[in-house]
Amino acid sequence: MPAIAEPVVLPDLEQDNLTGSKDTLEPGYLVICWNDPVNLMVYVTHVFQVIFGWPRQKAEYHMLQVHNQGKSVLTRESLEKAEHYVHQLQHYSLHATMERD
Amino acid sequence: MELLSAAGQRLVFRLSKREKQLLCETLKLYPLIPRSHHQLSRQADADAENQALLEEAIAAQKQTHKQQVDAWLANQARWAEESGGFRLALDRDQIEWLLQVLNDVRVGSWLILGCPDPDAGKQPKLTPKNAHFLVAMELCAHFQSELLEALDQAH
Repeated sequence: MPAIAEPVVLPDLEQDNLTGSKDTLEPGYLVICWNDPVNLMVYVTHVFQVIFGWPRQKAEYHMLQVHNQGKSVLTRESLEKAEHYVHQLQHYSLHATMERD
Repeated sequence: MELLSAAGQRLVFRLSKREKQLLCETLKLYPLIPRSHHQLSRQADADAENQALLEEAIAAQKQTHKQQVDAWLANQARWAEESGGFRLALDRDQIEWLLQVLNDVRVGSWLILGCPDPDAGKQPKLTPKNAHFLVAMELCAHFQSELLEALDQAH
């Protein structure tokens, strides 16, 4: 009679890890830049290029969206990445926040 | 402030004596933006722990920048005097740093002046004590524009 391997029950560490970090890994956070009357348009464009590595045209598109519509959603990221971008933008004193999508 | 040359990471500017004085006086105002101005989120249930982390990161950055500003201002050797002005060499990292410092002074001055918005008819709340911040705000804009234009030219 062939031995039947009993199912091996492993501790569900992986499952715990997955559920524990679900919020931080899912791209459920919007990084938003808000309009203010103090930051120079050319400065805002420059900062977007530096932080996101965008070409001038894309950076200007988002800068104009901020200027004309009051805000622009710059990117949608995980919690950690969104925090990183907000920190970077605020280091340049831009009015940027992250909001749950 | 005029770009004289750009080679690789290094940009060389010429400033008049007056411009040098105004730049240094403006940098001495750093930092101006209060910690409480930096908000991670506008949502009511924003995470207080993450907000505290942001404030700590900003505070650490400002402390470093303040030390760099003091060292930068103390080192007069960086200014090469020539007829009627000075030559100043900056690498691109220093320009990014200067842009951040100048914008802190600009936004901080704007906050002190009551967040004026001339396009919306909101004028600065000027008093004898804060009037110099209006000058600082405009000076920052001038130097930021010159630095950004130089980066553009050097690109």
